[in-house]
Amino acid sequence: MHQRPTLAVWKFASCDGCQLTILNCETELLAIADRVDIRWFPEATSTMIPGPVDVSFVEGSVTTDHDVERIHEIRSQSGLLITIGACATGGGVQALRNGVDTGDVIKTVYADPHYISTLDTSTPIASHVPVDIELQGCPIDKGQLLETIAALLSGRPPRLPQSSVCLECKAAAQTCVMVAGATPCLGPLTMAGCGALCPVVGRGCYGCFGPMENPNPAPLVSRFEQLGMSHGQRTRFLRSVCDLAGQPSPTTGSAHE
Amino acid sequence: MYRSPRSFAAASGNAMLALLAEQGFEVIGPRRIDEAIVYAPLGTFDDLPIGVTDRQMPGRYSLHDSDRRSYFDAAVGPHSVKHHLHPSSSTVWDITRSDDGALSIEMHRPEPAPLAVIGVRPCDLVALEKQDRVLMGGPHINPVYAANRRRLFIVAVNCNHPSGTCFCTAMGNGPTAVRGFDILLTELPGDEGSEFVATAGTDAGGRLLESIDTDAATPEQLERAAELAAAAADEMRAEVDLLEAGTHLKEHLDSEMWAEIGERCLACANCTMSCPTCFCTDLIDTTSIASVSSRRTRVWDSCFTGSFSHMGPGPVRGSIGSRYRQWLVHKFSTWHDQFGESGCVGCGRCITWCPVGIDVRREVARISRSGT
Repeated sequence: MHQRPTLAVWKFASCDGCQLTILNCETELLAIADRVDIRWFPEATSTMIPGPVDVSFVEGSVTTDHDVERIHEIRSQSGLLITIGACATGGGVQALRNGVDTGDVIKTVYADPHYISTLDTSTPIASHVPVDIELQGCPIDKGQLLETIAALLSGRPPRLPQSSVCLECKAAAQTCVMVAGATPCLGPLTMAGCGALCPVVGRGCYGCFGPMENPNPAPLVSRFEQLGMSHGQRTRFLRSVCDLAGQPSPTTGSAHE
Repeated sequence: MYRSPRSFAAASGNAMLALLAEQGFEVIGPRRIDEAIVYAPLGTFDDLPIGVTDRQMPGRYSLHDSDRRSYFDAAVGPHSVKHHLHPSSSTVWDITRSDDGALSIEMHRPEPAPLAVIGVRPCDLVALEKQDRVLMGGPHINPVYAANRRRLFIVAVNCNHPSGTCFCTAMGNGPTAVRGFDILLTELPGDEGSEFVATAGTDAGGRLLESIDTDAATPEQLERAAELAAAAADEMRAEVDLLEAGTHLKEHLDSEMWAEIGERCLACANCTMSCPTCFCTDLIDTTSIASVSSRRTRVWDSCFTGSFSHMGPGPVRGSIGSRYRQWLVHKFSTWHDQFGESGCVGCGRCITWCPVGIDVRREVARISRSGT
């Protein structure tokens, strides 16, 4: 990477919250601006310089035919492509329409449905193009964002969590809200990174950081049932901002199995 | 220094806490914070959870009013003294590069204020010994742990009422403490308020007892203390000697039960985080945006994470079952080979604080008895 790497920030179907997290870096923003050349970031500046960049941050999910074309174009123009947020890494809350009749959803939401042109699904960026680094979260964590930028500028891999929110919760000496308070909590399935934001104020995690490396939903769902959640409640709980109901991803084979 | 047991009432306990504070100790003890009994700053014995007891079962913890007006009626809470000795995060060093390219390295050598912990349970004292052996017993000393350990003053309390997940006796410990304390208390509940039988374990503990108002413990008081200990041990009577059974786990590495447990386990790492003897850490290096400084931080790690065994193409232990096996076999079996003792003290935290209530007592017993 040359002295001042070029950077772009792109938006797909999303709420802009993750882009705002970049702007929320406040005191660190000047240091970042000193080290990188921001070419394309409409949320922050009206100066927009087209062309290839060293690093692209991509917010949002793919929900239209145009999105599909655009993400391939961005991929071809980017050195590293880093997806930011629950929409870009998991499809986002708008992925609730996946698996149901999109026509029905559109009619429910829009007064004039004929103006709407959309795909049947909301899908993560990695379903369409290769992604180099994913930052999960709704919105992403500022600390992880800064760590990623600092790592790239130093030529080292970023240090990002892979394990459950429970590690952060216990490290913060928080009493488990599910064991002690019978509060349903998705922490055991959810990727760490938020610092156990919800449990430390006494509420259950609702999974906005998406699945951790090897989520095992079945036993936790049984526990929710014991806590009195109905089938419908459990389904909605596991599929809100992020889908935590899916099967665990295949784990790496190993000599110690 | 007192050689024989003393006795005192709560007022002298308050005097003891006040003296410790005067000597510069930060004093913490069991307090009710929200839904649990946790270590928090302690001013007087009135701050203790008087008349509150706990119910613990696999994956369940709740507090209840007790018909006893005891000060130390709840068993171990979610957190052990580990948090105060082997912190979840500590800075190792900072490195700064100056304009001429020279590196300056600042090693962090903590000098923590003295800490007095009131109400440490016998299981946690045994856990401290095990952590001492790992973190400062050999040639490579963890400086943060060692500094925190040196500053520690311990007022331990024998257990009168174990919880439903306690199994210290099945691990050859408790419910009374043998060593590792400055002062050891046994609470004798009574209609007029509790009395305490106190024994000094160190010169510092003896001097503190001499500084407060105490009497020689009577034979009746000592007899009552022994009865309470026997009753507590009875409450935990286990069918299986888990200390012995645990040593056989390593003979069952190919058991199908590991995969079966893997289907029930969340790999969330709550057991290892709660465990008072789990000591594993990772070292994290971060750099500044300007790339002129870096920091190394030591953080708790867990054998339930993929990164823990990540080598080359991926984690050596990919499946949840293989990670559970690693944890349980090390804790109960290969810890003996490594350190000459078990890694488990029977505090029961991994059982209570497992969100899905996996019970190591049951798993150790059935795997050690299994055919393979």
